Amino acid sequence: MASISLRNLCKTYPNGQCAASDLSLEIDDGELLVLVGPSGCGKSTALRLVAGLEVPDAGSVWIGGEDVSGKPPQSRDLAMVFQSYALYPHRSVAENLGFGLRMAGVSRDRIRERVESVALRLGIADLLDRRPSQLSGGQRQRVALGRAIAREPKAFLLDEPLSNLDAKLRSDTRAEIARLHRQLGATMLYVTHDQEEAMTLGDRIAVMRDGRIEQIGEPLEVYRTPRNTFVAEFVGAPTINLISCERVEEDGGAWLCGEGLRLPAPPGLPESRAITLGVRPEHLQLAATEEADLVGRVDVVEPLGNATLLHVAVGEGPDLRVLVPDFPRNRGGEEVGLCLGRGAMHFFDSENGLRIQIS
Amino acid sequence: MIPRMVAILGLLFLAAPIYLAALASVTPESRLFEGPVLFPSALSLEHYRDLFTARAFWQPIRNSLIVASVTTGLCVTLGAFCAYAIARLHFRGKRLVLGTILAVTMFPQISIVSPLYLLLRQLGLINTYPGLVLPYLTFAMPLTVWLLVGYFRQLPAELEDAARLDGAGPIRTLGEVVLPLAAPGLAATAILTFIYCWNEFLFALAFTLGPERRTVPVAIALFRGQYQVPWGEILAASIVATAPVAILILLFQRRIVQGMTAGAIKG
Repeated sequence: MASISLRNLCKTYPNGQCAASDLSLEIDDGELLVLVGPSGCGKSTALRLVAGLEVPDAGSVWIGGEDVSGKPPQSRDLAMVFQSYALYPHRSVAENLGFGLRMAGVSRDRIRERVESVALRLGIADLLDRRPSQLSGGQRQRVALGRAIAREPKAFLLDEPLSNLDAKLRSDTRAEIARLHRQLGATMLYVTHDQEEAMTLGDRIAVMRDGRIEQIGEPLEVYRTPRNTFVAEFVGAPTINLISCERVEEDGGAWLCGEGLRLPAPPGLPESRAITLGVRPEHLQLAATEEADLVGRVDVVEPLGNATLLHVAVGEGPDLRVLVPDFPRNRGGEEVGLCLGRGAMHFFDSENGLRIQIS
Repeated sequence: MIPRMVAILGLLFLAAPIYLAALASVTPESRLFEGPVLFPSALSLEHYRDLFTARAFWQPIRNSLIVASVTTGLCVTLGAFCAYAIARLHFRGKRLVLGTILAVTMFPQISIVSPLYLLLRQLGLINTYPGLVLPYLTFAMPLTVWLLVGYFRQLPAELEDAARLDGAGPIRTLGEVVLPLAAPGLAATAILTFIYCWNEFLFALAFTLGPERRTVPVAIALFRGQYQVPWGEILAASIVATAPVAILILLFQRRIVQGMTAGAIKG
């Protein structure tokens, strides 16, 4: 296994779309780093640049301390798992698993041995003679993973490997990938648009937008201290509430005022600037209307099973999402009071979206 | 009901000439011109016997087989490399290459017979197999390349990416992944090329001199003598010449249709 390093990569496609702009990233040996972002943010391009399937306009890729920028994909000793699985349809499962080894000139006996051990590990030993077309989606996914593992590459690149699976299989396979990562101690670069996958799988996650990394860090660190409103909105489900506010000096004190909201401004908040207040849905609590920070009307009630998500309309502003343990559906339309968790508020500069750190 | 009637009528319309030719080829010379009949009154294989004894029809069949097979082999091999490069690699002047390839097919054959004849004579290739294979290649290659480019383009690119990451270089990727998957397309183009070479008349007439290199269509055309046209033998030869092509098409008809419509719709 080896570390991967992306240094100042730039890539603009002929159609003018900039998929990587001065992209730098370090993935430690044995780390699972997740690149996450909305579609078109350049995360797949970053992966293809590492693989050598795309050639960067500038910058370099280092694998295990070696500059591989000039090397073609077949010489980089990486394995990739594709969203479409990309299994060779004209070859059996065993041949698919052993393809990379055969290309590397490994002896036939050694290939058979290796294919069998990988198949056993992934529970596909009884499928070795089948063709990919005779497999279910989950089985294909396993074969694709197995093909990557069989080669014992320097690192694994996974491009949205779970997005073609149904919800149940997805969570099973997600756990499987986490287990494989732990057992193999493998360096993995994992691309997804699903923030939940990123949060649950990544040792670290890198949130991308427009070919740049907006924030990189451990999942909970990113969740708790998002660097800007984009990251705050992208990471975490249900999505964070962003409330436009203004800092006002009144009655001898500083206040944070927004739609239906008036809070004492925390010390350290810069003066006279538009502030965006961020509160995650789980940090809003129902309260009696007279004690509440905000009063609104319950618009939609969405029972999730383990919790209930309320959409609460406050004044003219956008609905607030509130996660509560339980709420009867027939109480939709009622007026409720909301309290903001004092320690769990995020403040952002409305102009540039950047986080304002309150000491 | 009506569609079926139309289909049957169409089939009759298409099959009638072949049936009548087959019928005439087994009718004795003396009864050939008694008037149109639908069923044979007397069967005879005399035309076929004459064809292979007096006419030595084996020779043109051998020539045609050699020329068509060699052309087809070269055409599909070279065409596959060329088409793959155009479909997948990035290089300057790709459109120009494709345009030129297409432009070659625009020339009517008759317009280049004379220059080609002079060229082949200079090269000493008149009345030789290469003297037919080379001109056929120039006409068959564009079709092959265009068909295969379409076929290669509709193969999922991720498969080739996967092969490359698995350690296969471009040539091995082509051999291990692309060509096996393109087999229906290759079969279709091979058959179309073979049929084109098998049927080609003008070049074969112009660039061969004696019976030792004549191909089937030319040989049949030259059956007619100064005073008589041996219809029985001509038709027998036509049936013999049609048979291999008909068998090929019957065997591979599904693949041909698949190959020709590849890329038209997402499968």
